[in-house]
Amino acid sequence: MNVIEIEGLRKDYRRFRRRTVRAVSELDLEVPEGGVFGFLGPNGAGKTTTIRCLLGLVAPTEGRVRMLGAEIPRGLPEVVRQVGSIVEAPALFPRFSGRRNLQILAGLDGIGRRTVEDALEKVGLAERAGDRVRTYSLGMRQRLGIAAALTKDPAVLILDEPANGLDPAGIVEVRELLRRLGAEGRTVFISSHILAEVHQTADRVAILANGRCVAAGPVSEVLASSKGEGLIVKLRDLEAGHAALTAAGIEAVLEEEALRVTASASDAERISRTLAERGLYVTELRPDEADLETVFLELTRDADEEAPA
Amino acid sequence: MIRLVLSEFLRIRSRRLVWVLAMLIVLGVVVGSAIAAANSHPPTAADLAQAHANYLSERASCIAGDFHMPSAMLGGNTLRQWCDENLREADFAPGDEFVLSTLPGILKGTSFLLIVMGLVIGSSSVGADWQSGSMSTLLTWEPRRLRVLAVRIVVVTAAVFFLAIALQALLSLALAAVAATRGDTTGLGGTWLQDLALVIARIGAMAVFGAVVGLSVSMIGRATAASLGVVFVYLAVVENLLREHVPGIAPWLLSTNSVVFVSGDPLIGGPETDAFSVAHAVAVMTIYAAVLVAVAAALFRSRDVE
Repeated sequence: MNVIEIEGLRKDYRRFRRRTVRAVSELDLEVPEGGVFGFLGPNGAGKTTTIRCLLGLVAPTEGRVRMLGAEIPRGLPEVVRQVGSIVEAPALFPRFSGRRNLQILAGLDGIGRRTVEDALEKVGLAERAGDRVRTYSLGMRQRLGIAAALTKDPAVLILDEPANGLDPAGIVEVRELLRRLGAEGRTVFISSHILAEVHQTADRVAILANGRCVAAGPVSEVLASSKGEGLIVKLRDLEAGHAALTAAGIEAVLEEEALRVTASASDAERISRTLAERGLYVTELRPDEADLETVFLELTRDADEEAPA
Repeated sequence: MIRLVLSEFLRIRSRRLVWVLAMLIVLGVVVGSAIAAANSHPPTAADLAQAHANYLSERASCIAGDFHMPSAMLGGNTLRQWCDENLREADFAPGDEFVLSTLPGILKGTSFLLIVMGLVIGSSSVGADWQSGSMSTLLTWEPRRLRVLAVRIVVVTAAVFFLAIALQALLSLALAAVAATRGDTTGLGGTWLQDLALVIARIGAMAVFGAVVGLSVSMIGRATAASLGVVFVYLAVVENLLREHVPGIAPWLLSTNSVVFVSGDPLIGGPETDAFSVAHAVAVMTIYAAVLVAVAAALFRSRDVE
């Protein structure tokens, strides 16, 4: 079952006496139930606009958005109690304490003070909960936003750049928290441009560029779609190694710090032996596996090239 | 719905601005009462004797025809009857003591403070949400926008009305204490009390009107300062220009209607126009408030929240 379904979503922002800006264009997206879903894209790709459409804050120009089976925005009141969210930086009252901010929001759902305290505890803000939000760092505000979203005990958690402003320890904590929430069967939808973070957290991803979805699916499938394939070979004398492999009929490209060999992992032994027979010893041999960042850059670059001028 | 109302009450109760404004007015009450107490001196026996002598002298002059009253002004009365009706001894009382019977007038004179308080609380109750971005957070918890606006109006107006009544009651009690200890408490019959209660209620209603106007304009402009600026410029500049250049428009101006409503006196509409009733003032202000709320609701409902 899909928790989120987006079909042909388009959002144009019309500004007075300025040209219309298309933030999202013909976006189709399906987010299955459970696990962590990474929603990636460069700045201005349309991630936040898509999230705002999901949360009923922005009206789509065209297209259909469904969440937990309800049409958005009409059916949002029926499901909003199951949806926790942060859009961009958590927007709370700077002059109220963190606790008071949460109590006001939690009061809307009849959530008790005990739950508020538990949520503050869970994000490590219990000790500073009585301080005014304006004295909080960006990271603390982010934690407070996550705490607010968690007080609902939501089935779907929508977080826009949840690691923004967090220190390394905070990033690790949030990552573990999100993984845990995903493993509990909740659907955690995170938008981010910190690709390594998403790579370590998400089960599935969608990559957005110029308002369109350019890739979507399990992380392994998206990585496999990359143009990168073959093996990376490192040794002291790269030129001699390149000559040896070419002489042995193994296709290799000489790069600045390594040889990129067009071969499968099962050819690793043959490559290693060929080089060793010529007195060249391999210092590193590994699959030329693309990471999410490489795939992301390839896909978003392709989308930029294809985009109409 | 009840949860939203309770949450909004918790929010407005937590707002520092509300408490600061209320405390400033309380401070004003304390200072004003202290000044009234310091300046109020109960008359001595000699003062009273002098006042009585002045009254008798004036009355005698009146009856003797020294005022040269035309007979048409007497309305069929004898000169003595006319003098007895129009010259009252109370008007000759020594003037340097605080007289509690003037309290309704004092409340009317200070009512603008409470109206401004309502305007500021109303404006900031929405402007703060837009400025901090917490409107989008609120709508991710309660997406029914018209409900959010309706509850916000109810809670803000209830809070402003309560504050306006409480602060006027405080001022009344403080001045009553001054009058009881150092002033004059005569002439406080049932009619006076009824008049006082009506004045307090009308000023409370005007503060509520200010809150509704401030809240609506702030919802339209999405900023507290802009909203307050627009309202003050409209009242101070636009209405004065209109009054000057468009004859006969006074009955449709907010400022004129506000004065008529607070005073409860139709004749105060001004010499430039025919007097109009308090009911007319209520109707005009209700229509203005309703139009502003309708525009604010329509924009809030359809607008993208970023």
